[in-house]
Amino acid sequence: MEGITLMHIRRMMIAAAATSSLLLSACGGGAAADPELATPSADAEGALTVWLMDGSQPETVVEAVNAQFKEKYPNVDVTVELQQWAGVQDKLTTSMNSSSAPDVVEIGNSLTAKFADAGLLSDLSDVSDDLGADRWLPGLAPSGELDGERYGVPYYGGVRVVMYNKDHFKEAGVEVPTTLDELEQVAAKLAETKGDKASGYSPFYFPGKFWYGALPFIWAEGGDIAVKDGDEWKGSLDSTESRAGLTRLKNLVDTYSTAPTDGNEVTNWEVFQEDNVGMVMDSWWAPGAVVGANEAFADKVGVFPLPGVQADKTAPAFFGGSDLAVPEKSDSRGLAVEWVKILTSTDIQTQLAKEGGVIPNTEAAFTGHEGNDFLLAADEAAKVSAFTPVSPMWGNVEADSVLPDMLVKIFSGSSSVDDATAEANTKVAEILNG
Amino acid sequence: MSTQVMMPATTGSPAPPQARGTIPAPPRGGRGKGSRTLPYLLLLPAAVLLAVVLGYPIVRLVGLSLNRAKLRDLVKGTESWNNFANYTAILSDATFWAVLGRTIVFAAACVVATMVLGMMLALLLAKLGRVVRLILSISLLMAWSTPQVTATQVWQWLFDTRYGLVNWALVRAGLTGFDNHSWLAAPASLLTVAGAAVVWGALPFVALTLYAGRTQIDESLYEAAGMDGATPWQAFRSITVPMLAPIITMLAALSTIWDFRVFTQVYLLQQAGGITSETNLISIHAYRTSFSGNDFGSGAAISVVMVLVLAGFSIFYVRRMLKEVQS
Amino acid sequence: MNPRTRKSLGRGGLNAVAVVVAVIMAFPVYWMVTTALKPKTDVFTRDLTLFPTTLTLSHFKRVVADESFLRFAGNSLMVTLVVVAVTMVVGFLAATAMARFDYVGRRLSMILILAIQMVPLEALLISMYVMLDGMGLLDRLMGVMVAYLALALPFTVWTLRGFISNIPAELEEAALIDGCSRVQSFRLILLPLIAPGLVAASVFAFILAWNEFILANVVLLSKQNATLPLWLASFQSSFKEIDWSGLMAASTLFALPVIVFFVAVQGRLHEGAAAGGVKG
Repeated sequence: MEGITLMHIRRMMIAAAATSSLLLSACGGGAAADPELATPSADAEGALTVWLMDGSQPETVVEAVNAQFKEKYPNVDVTVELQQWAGVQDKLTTSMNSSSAPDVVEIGNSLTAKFADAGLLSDLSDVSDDLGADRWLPGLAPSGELDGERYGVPYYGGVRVVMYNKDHFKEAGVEVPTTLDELEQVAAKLAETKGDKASGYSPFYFPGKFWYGALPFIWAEGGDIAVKDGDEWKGSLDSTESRAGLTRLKNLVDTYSTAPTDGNEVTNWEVFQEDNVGMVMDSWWAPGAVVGANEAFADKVGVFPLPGVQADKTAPAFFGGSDLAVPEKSDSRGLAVEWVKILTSTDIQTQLAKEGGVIPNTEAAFTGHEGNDFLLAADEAAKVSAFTPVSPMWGNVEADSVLPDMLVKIFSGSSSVDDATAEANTKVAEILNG
Repeated sequence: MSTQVMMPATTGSPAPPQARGTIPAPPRGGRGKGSRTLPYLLLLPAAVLLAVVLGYPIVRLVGLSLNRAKLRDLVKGTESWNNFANYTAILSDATFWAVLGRTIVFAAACVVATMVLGMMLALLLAKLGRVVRLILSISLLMAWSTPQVTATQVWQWLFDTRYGLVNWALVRAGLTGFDNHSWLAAPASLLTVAGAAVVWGALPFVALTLYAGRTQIDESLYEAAGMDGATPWQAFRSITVPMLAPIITMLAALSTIWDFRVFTQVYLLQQAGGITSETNLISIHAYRTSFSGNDFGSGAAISVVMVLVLAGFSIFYVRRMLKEVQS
Repeated sequence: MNPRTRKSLGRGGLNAVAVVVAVIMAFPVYWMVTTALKPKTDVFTRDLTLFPTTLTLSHFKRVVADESFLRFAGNSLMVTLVVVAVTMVVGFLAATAMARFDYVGRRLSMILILAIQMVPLEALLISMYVMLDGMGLLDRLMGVMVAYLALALPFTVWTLRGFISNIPAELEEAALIDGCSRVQSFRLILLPLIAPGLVAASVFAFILAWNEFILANVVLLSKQNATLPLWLASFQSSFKEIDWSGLMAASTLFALPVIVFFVAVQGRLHEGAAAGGVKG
């Protein structure tokens, strides 16, 4: 089979080239403990395959990174393949464990721990300072870390914010709330002037499965999903604090939300355009999407971070996003690190913030959002954030829909807050301790 | 009834002795041996293809199910025999039994609905004129050719709580109680919507295949039955069903296999509404265990158990089939 | 009422039933197509209308504007046609053996053909990937072709066997006695009679190869080798707002070739049925 031989010869040549350049740089005194991760010399040759997710970044960003990389390594060919989110877990699992492993991958940051634990990702601890660990947003950094080692480099993130209808706020004579109590008062005022649930108006719209939206309520009260105690995960959904947060949310939903108690948040931004909603939580991109789809809303949409219990601190937002990682089986890991270094540098991140509209991995790049009130509000929300338990088993909690199931039971009234949290708590602990 | 007298010759149930051995060796000499090796030659290409492509993966699947095979083990090559731990873990898990029971009820309902409706459609097709038949065939084919993910998405929209056409139409018809009604909140309701989408997607194949089989039957049989005063129902029972028996068995077996493995329809509806843990089917359970759960050993064990359960259900079909073969 | 009027009334009633069934079956498809033709703002609205009047082709234009669309379509077409052709031939041979010959291991082979279909593809995904990798077939259309052949084959054998055993062996025997050669008896007697079965099986194989996503997703790594289901996935996988209109337009285009294929083979089916006919 001609294909096999050719491919193998090509791979061997690349490997040989990489090794020789590594030897050179090792002689030059590279500090890295893993020699393959050391900075290759400028005359390094070979090919680099990068898998980024479709929609994560505009093409201009990729072009800018490649231009900078080409300047440094003129003899390396870079191929950037855009992957689709649908089925990407399968694709990463199979390819990263094969001879065709890509050299750089973008991973949804709640999955980094899983792939790291499986041994599919390079330990980047030795080069993390070089990659700029000191400037990463504290909310994004933990997702790429497992047992004290660094596997994922924060690429960008996204948070949920509260979208509100400025006209309705004006009519009701209310201001943007600065505490959760105030948020309830605002909702009550909106119900008074615009109509209550029965009339079809929703002062605070919240579909039942929206767990990214529910987590900040738990965290705001000081609760959490689970905490690590030594080697053991302890569920804390049944803590007084978590229950207090969920009870507050349940009251809001019961009184002010017309959303299906078993629905998801996918159409939240569409519902907002019905002009029948006062406030709704949604992803950071949603306000822009509303205005993009419906110009009539250009002056109506306002955004604020979900407030906390006290006015001095917003509710911790769930900081989802993507990490960049270098598969252990990549044959050009040194070059891969160099490419990641450029993509996560502050100037490229500023460009990404500006042109891609995501939250960059460093506060220094927030300047890319200047002039965009929606994104500036998202940045504000991102400054106080939290994350789901960093465990290789976390994917199971998500796959089993433990949190959405719990919320649906609470909001539909089929279980009390106490019963639903107790049940979910047991499941979470069981899964995380696998 | 005289039609029954005709059956043996045409269906091949107790066949006359000379039919045994099917095609008799041609009278020319030297071909007898060829006839003995001929069936193997005919089978060879298929056998080679299946053995090469599916042989290794299936053997490997069984191997995985007998080993500790977390994702980490696959990567590091540290799979190890674990004394049927995957199987004992599954079989002692109450969730598994609940999921299995739910899957069996769901699949059985889907198979019955698909077969009954499919047969009705096939008979309808046979009675139609050219033009209307083409219209109906194409409409069936449109349903069949729609990508499953898209079709399920449309079904979800039709039953959407807020924007769904079904609620909209019911409210317009005066049933205002359906305003904002969630069709997915109750597990039975979610599975019914999923089942409707499954049957809708499977009907075209079943109906068109049964119709294809129906075209093989000689009309003179029905004419003869009609002359003997048989009602259409009697003709259906004594001609259509026995004549189509091999095809019915084949379709029922396939439907059982497919409906037992339904994944997309339920999975996508679970994202849109309802309570996931109360609506999981076995294929979703297996997939979540292996891919999301990093535990390929347990995932493989669930798949093996699934195949065994299916095989158990298929014994009925296999026995029917072997009986047909025997004659 | 004379028998003739009763008959035509019956025909009229059947036609009415058939049209109603056709409308019900096609309705989700109709909804997909009209969604693809609606302006985006009309997709999620509480003011539904069955017959939208504001229509736009912009979503269709947008989805085919992607220059890779034609390439993907070409890849898909090639994979699918090869799979259909090879499965039909190989499947027919095996089905004939099972339906018409008595050989040692016949029952076993039939049980195996059924049993193989019980194994879910998802469970074989990783090992199939490893195997195709070992054969040097990763990122090659050949890789998915071989896999789809193996996936479509058990079904094809199983279906064709049902159809062949439905035809009385006496028919062929009669033909042989009448002095037809084996090839003639196959061409003149068997083929026309199993034509409907071949149509059903080939449409099935067509749809399988045309729609398969899970394996294509992991095997066809580079964009130039991608097939249409991977293209379709790009409309439904985003962490930002989902392009529903684009997905529906793409799905409509995606489904069209299957219908064209069916209409094409359906014509053959009627020719075949007219040529043959089981005389009991």
